[in-house]
Amino acid sequence: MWSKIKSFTVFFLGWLAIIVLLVLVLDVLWGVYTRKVMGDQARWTEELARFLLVWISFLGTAIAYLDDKHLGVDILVSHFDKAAKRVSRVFTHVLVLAFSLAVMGIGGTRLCIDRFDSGQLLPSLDISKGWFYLSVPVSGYLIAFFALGNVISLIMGKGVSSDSEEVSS
Amino acid sequence: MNEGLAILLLVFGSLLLLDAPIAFVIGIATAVAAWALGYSDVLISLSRDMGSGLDNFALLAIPFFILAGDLMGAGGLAGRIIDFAASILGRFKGGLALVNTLTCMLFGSISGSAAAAVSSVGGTMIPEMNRKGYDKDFNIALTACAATTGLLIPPSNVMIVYAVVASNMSISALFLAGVIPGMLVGLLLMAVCIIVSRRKGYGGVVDEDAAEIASRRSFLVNTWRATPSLLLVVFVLGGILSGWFTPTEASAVAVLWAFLLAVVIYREVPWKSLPKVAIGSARTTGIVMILVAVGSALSRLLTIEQIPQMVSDGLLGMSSNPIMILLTINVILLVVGTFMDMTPAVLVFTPIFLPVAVGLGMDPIHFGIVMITNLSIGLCTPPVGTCLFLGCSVGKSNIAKVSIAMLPFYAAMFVGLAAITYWEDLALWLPRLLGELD
Repeated sequence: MWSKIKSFTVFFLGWLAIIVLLVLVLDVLWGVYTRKVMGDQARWTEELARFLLVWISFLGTAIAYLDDKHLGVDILVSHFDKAAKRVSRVFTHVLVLAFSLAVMGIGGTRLCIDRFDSGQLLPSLDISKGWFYLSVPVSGYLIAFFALGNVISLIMGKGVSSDSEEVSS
Repeated sequence: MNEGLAILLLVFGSLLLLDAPIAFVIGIATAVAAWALGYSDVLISLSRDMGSGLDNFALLAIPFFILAGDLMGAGGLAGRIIDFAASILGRFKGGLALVNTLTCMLFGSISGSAAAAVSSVGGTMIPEMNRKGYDKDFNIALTACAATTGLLIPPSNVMIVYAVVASNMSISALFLAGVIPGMLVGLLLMAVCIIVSRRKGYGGVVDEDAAEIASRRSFLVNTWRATPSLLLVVFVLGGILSGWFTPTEASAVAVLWAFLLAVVIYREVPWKSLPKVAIGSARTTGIVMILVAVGSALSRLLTIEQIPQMVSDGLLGMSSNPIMILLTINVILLVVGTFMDMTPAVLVFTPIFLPVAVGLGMDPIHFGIVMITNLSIGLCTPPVGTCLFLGCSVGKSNIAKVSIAMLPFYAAMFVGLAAITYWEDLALWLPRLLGELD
């Protein structure tokens, strides 16, 4: 069940990222084309680009967390024995869980509610600024959900698929 | 000492040591410090800083250069650049070492990733050099160091990060400023190669093996084959300098060019593996951008607490001699670089040290180049050095042995760093010449 949810999310996030990247490239190229060839740059291109940038960034952050690719410093932990390593891994996943849930998730949700209520619009796209900030809580809840999954499977003794190598070695 | 700063440092240091992802460590340390200092609505303002920190058109060049680099690097780029480099340098003594260095410089510039240069160029050159009698640890050390020069030679993502944290300075001027320092470090590494090769007798009088690679095809053919890839750099720099594109637009054009080369012309990346390449690029983007996001939250906290002012006063109070102060900053950054990766180090330390440097009358562009040159050394040192570690795994050796083989290369990089720090024209001459800087 868990691995099914995980692989579905990876699949879904992956395709979403591909589409966002593709639209981003086309959008910026279209901006250059309209300015250079048609003499007048379409104003929405830059705004859409910044809007999609924040989304691809936070989606990418979630993908990187799922793949366990974020940068860390393992000077100390690499000397730990198996049990201590496991405790420290549980601890780091709890940290990630706390930050993504509290700051990105809850803080981000309240921020978005504020922005949707304020009626502030992205001028050319004519949508609420809340849609821009929505990327933060969406990514936060996704990361929190998978961090929780990682913590549970570490405590239950199954190891996390992506770092099972470290745990078993 | 400021109470908030103490908490920040304590949380940051202890969590960092436990191998927690560094972006989350910066975020948590910032949140805890803000909360302890009695800020209101910490959660909301932090998430807002993270979102608005990324709301910058210039940052868009980062995912684009990553994507272009991934597309270019996926195919036979390393092989074509090696052939090209061999036809220029293959005939000299210690030729393969020189070829390796030049290839890393060009590959690092085109792919924008020092790590990709180590694995792609090293994957081919290290075994080749081993076979021809060069010492294995020397080969790994050389590849790791040479790969970092690509971070100075444009286009370079870490420069974009620096330009954005240092409050939106000119990316084109910064790109140009890196060209000569990057080549200087490359030349110094080559000098070490020549000296070591003479001592150890690598490659004979004429390196027959490198000459052999070179003579498989004529110089013109090798150059012709490498030209489309090298054009990527020409398009980006030329487009920006002629005023045709902004750096961000140039990076989108780079994606288009990389796509045409990899998928349509060379067909080294089949259509069906494009999704995988794109997801990989999105992931790398996420790794860098979450750092930029929490970095901007941290930098706002530091500014409100006037910490850069404090550090600046402290450093300027210690000595009034600019040479000593720059030396101190360099030593601190070298220590930081040994355990911290380049992007987080740039994000955390630019807001702290840049005001000091500017206070000494240093140009912010020059300081950025000094910082990147400095932190490049850290990528090749234990206990944490991405290029060193990757080199050891590609070349199958251990960190202790390679670190010893690194010593002459460290010396070369220190000489380069000193020259770049104290002779500003190395960085600033080219952007001034081309009118990108006053």
